[in-house]
Amino acid sequence: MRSYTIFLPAKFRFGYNEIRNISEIWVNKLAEQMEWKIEPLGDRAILIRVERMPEPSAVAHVRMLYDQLQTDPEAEWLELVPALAAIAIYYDPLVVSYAECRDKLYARLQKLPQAAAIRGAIRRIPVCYGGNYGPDLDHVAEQAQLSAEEVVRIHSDTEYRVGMIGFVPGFPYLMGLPQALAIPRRDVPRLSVPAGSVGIGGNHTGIYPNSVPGGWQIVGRTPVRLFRTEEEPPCLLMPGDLVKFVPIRCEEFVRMEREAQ
Amino acid sequence: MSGMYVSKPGLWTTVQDKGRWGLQKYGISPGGAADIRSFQLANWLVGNEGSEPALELTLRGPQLVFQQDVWIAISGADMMPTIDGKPVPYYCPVFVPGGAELIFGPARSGCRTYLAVAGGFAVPRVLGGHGAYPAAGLTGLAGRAVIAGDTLTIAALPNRSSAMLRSLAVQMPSQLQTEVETEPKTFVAAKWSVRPSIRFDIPIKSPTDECELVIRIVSGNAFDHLTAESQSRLLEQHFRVLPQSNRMGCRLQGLSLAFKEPQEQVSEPVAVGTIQLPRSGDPIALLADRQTTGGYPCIAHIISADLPSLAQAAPGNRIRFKKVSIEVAQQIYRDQQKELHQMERFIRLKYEIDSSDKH
Repeated sequence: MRSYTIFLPAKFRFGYNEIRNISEIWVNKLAEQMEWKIEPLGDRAILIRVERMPEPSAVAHVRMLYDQLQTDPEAEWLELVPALAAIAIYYDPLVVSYAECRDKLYARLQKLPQAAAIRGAIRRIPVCYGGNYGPDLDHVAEQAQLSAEEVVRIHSDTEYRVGMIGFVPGFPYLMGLPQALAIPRRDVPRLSVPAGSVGIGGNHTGIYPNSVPGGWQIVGRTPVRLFRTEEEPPCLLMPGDLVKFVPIRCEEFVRMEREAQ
Repeated sequence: MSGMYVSKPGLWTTVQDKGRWGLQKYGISPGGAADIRSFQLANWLVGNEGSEPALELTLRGPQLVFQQDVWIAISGADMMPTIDGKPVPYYCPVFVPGGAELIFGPARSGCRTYLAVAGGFAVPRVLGGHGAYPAAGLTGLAGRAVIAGDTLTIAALPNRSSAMLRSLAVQMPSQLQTEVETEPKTFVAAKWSVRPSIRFDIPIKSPTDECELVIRIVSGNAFDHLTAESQSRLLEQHFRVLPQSNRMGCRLQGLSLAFKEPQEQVSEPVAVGTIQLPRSGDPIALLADRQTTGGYPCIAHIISADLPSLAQAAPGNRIRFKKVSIEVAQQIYRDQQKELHQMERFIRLKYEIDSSDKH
């Protein structure tokens, strides 16, 4: 399975860099009946999809392939975009045709190693649950037939894997939400969800990095900024990272938010 | 004071460049000018490299006061721009004296107009791009469109551009040289312009008139899952562009489309030009500010060569799709790029010849 190396600073703080510096290494083994599907995504991108594989395993394979492709990219590739069960490669059709691009990719898929070490990060994200910060916590509890405290306990006891970053800049789709908390999105999306809001949408949980319209059930909020244009990379979370939520009190939220500024 | 003052902002006027590429893995879409062809042309015409920040005007243009002498070029949708009541020509370099007010009207044809200035607009570069990107609150104008009272700074001319423009000034009607010295109140346009010979599909009539834009597409992975009736509808009927369309997507309406069976799809990468089919049955063609991933099935993709034309489709315009193979789509794109580069060379040559004439 996987092995962790966790480095915890002596006095754990939730500053951006402290959160960033914890990492894990895990080994992904190529599935025996591996099925990749390659198809065009329009006339200047190509999509490689992992077929018939449950979500967490698909994400691990996507991450493994992404690492392999990214470390040795072809000259005509413009950009690689990893998603839950697929990678898009944008290429320059002035340099290669679709067929050439596809054939090169097939050749590279044949040469994938049987197993590869993947370096991920473990991010402990402080969250203030309920109240003004999590206006939908009671609704989620009611739908799940649990108490609000139980929802918080289950949500923060779980380790989530970042499946992909998408929807809006820096938004992580987190996998591994316990079935008990899988509540559909709101019927009517909010016109504005505050930055840092932690939401549940179907089988996923996620964090809104910026204030945008959104339909997920909001259970809490983190004072940590996930998307910062002045950082390189601008995103705190990357696909394959592990996320663990740490419940904090309202006063701590206010203090951390003040410190972050 | 120097720069350009916005006295009226127009409907949706943003600073754009060629976009931010390489950041989709962080959920940041490339953005950039919706009609990249018109954007580049306007830049080339004022002696710029082609990617300098320019203004993208939407459906109704702004009123702008230049606080310094400037060279401009206008391309794309016809918004009947005037200075002192005199129409300003498209697709050619125009000298505008400081103090002049450039007034755009509503788009008589097309949807988006580009206004480039020699040197480009000086807007902070954030994450490798200058363009307004509201989803992330990026750049200098906090990612928003321009508003009345904004002043946009104009960047200093690079040496090459100023040499080109000097050579153009030499060739300009003698009135320019005399009037420049006596501070002319009005603009002077170059005597030449580029008439795009390539497929520059800008709908030529007003949105209320019946005219049809043919946009070519390649199949998407959900095309085969459409009912036979929907497949033929997609390729035979015309779609109307809905007013809810914006830089994220062009919303289309026709007889609604349906799948043989409900499609379940995890969120996957989507590209500019991807045509998604949500449950409503009305397709959405994704434009520059699209999301990086989407959960709706992709029934088709607009070919790269026709994306600028789609960006010029205004609400009310009619669109018909024509399916081509991916090989054909890429060949059309290569041919079109070749033609665009010939046009770029023509413009550069024009400046050089103009200067050598005088030697």
